[in-house]
Amino acid sequence: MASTTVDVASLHAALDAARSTKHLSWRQLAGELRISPSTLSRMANGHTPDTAAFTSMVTWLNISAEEFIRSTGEPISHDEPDLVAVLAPLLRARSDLKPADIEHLEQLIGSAVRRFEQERAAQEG
Amino acid sequence: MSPKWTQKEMARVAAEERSALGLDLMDPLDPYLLAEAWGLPVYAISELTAHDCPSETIEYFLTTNSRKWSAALIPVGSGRLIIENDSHSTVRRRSSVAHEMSHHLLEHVFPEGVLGSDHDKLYSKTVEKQALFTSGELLAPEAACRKLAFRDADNAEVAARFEISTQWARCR
Repeated sequence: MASTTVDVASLHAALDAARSTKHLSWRQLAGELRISPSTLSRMANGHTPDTAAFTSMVTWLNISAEEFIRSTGEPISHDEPDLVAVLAPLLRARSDLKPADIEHLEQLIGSAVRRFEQERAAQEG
Repeated sequence: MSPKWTQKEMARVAAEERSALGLDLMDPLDPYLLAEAWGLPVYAISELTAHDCPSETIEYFLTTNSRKWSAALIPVGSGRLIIENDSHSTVRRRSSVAHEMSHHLLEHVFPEGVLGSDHDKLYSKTVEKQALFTSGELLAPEAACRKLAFRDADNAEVAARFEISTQWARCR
């Protein structure tokens, strides 16, 4: 039998969509699910919830658990925009930042995001 | 849009988080452990040389303009990470990380919260005040400070107990 893993990004996105529809904060959602709010935050950073939390989530969503199960090794897309590209216009719009500040901020954030993505890829195996 | 918060609710959130870390009222909180519990990595600027950050940029924030930057909460898709300025004193770094974690705990929404405590122009004053209040409750709860005040503890004693600056102990 092939080993499987939870598609954490898809599950987190489904929870986010459902909680937005119900106008719940993440903390309120955690209360409904009877889990710690930190579990939801950890999922946003790619950590897999434990079995009890996963069961509670799919039950609350009323979606089959199978929808969020993937074969190990199956690529999981994060579909995230390039952060520096998103931030650059915001940074440039700020009158309190000098051009040198912006240039170095972009470098700093870019490096941090590269490290973050490397660590998350290693975590997902 | 960020949720609306009263001081009572923010104090409750801080108390819940302290309790989740197994802390009693009078215990100091380690904001790095709080970040870890919430799955947020905290990267010190000096560590980013290993991730292709130019040495001029590291130098810019750690030496030439070290006062310009304390910490930042950075969104990456749905995830979050924190960058902190490790040229600052330990008490200031603890305060900066607790401040950024407070933005996260209070679910302050990007792009309001993209930059940290020394680059607060993207935050509204209200949101900044909320993070300031919550970080205070995380690091040195008001109830604990009152207890110490009744015992005639001075600012230095409060600061030492909660590992905060004496200036902040005075505010608490």
